[in-house]
Amino acid sequence: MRKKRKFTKRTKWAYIFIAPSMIILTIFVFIPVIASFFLSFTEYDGISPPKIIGLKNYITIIFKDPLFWKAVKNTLFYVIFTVPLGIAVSLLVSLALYQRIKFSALFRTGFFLPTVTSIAAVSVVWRWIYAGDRYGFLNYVLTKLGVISVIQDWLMQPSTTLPAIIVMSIWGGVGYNSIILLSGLQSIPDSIFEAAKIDGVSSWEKFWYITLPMLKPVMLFLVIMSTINSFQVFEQVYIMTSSTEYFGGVLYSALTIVPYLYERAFKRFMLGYASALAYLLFVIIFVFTLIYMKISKFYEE
Amino acid sequence: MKNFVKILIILTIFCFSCSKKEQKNVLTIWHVGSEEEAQIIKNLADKYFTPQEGIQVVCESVSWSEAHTKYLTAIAGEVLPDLGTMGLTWATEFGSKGAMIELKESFPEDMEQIEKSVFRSIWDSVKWKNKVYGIPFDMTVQILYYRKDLIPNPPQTWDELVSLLEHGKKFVIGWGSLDWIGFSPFLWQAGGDYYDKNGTKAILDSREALVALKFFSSLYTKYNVPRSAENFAAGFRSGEYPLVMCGNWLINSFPAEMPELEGKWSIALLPKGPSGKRTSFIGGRVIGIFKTSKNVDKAFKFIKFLMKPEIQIEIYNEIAKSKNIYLPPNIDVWKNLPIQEEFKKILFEQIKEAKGPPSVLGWDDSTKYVVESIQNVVVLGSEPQQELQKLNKKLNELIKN
Repeated sequence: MRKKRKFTKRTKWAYIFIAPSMIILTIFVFIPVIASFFLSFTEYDGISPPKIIGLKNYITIIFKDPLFWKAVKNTLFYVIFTVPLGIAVSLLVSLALYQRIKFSALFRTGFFLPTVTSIAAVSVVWRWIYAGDRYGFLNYVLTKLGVISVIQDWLMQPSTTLPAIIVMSIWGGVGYNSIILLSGLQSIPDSIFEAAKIDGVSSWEKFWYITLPMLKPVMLFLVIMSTINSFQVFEQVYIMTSSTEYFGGVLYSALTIVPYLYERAFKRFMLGYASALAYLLFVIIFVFTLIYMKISKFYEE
Repeated sequence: MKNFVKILIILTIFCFSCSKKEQKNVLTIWHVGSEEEAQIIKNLADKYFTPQEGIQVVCESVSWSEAHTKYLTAIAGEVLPDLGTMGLTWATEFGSKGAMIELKESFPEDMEQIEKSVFRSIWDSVKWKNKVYGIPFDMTVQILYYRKDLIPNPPQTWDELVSLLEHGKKFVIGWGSLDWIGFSPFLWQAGGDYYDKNGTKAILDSREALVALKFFSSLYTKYNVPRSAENFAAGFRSGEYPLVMCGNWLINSFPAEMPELEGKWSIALLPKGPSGKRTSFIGGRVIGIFKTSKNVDKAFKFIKFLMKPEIQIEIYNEIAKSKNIYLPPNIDVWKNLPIQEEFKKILFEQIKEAKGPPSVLGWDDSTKYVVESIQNVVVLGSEPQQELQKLNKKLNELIKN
């Protein structure tokens, strides 16, 4: 049985120390979270007082809002490609870095750089890389190499917009993911590999039967975190596909949930509607996380 | 412990409450635009306005990308400045929500004067149901940039434009590609419009609108006008894109960026459409007073101060130093405006023959459908007529007047 917690002289100081961050969290996280839950049942434009309309926001979103479903579809597409590909690439990078190759520190820094750079700044650069005439960097390189003969307008044609953003996001996530994976790799005791060596295990088997299973907790953490992050993708989409007059790419080809929410909340000032969107996104992410947890439990048993 | 919590709460409340200061003798302005421009306004106020009126002026810059959101948040929280410059249609939007002072009612005589002195084309966009919440602060107008060495005579009509395109000269829409800002001039040149004269119903199902949309989409699908215009300046420099339709902001930046092109480029009026009109799109910023201001009279005096010809010329000179351009909305100022004669004539003509965004409440919600229809036709090859009829219905639903 758990002991009942009491205020003692010792715990008092603990509370004092967590107080500042708790106050900040309360003001900027807990209160808004609760407030937006209530707002999701209202119609609120930020100026006139909120009007309670029950479940109407949710009903409109789910049954009458084609843009929401477009955003959900795009977001799922984005998540399905970004998460597995991102982690696979990161795994390759971390394995390479683990081999103690020459200039390993240099590579590590290189891969990690996008992580410490503001994603907004990076998005502006990628917008130029994808720019649609022969002055766009990607077009320039690809035509010089003879890969493509017709210049592509990467961010202005529905079929390539989202894939272009996925590629950029994978690149942006590799640094963080591979550093975490690298630390996972380094925590695997050398003695296991030595034992395997004595048993004459091939390097592919070593990877498949030792490295991967030992990395599982780290992988699970990464999968969950990058799924959550990918569902909430915002800056890349917003900066790379929005002009002053439209958002989410040509014909909403790259519109994902959070940019849509942002547009509703802060361009149209439909705060109640946007709050409902936020809670639907929460439900989606929650369901996915539960599924992951279940799957990983299943494998453990 | 209980006491401790109490003290903490009191301390927090104290911290938040003491930050609110009431400053009576200061006019605060938010300026949508660069830090430099805000500084220019502040300097002019310090030099001429404060000594006369005895009131300090503080001018803070707000970036375009966050400005609209910031204003709406500030309106919700009632933490507004006295004055603000803003996008052309915002003043009406905020005004209709009750956040801004209606100027015609508050200052009828002065407003009559101001209305007479400002270009008609831009005034039409700030007037809504005979109410005015913001006065034009500057203007931005679409014009045609062309390479004199490659195209000796700029196209005067749509037909001439097409014949140039057929001869392999490329054309770029640098402002408003694939959206309504790029489409609007063609719509107006064809003789069409978004709404009827009184703004009571949409008229995009007209024959003129169909002609315009067909022509606009043929530019992309038949004549290879690039969809994105990210790097058109490089193309203009190399001569690949000798024709660019863009805002007037390049006039002072082109010479600085590409000095080697001196004398090889110029500007021209947009080509005439089937209706014989050369209408282009005009935008700009307006300045208005917020209801929460405690110095409404002084604030209006400051607006009048900014409208003075000598002040507008000074703003022009200061802004030109940073390779930007300021087009004053005051017609009389133009005689003495130190722009090159060659450009001044064209700009003046084009501003007179220009139109701003429709002053219809509901337009801001409608633009995304206009954009969607344009993109459906250009990108997916939808039938223009059906698309316009669908769009017209949508626009009618969204009119809130």
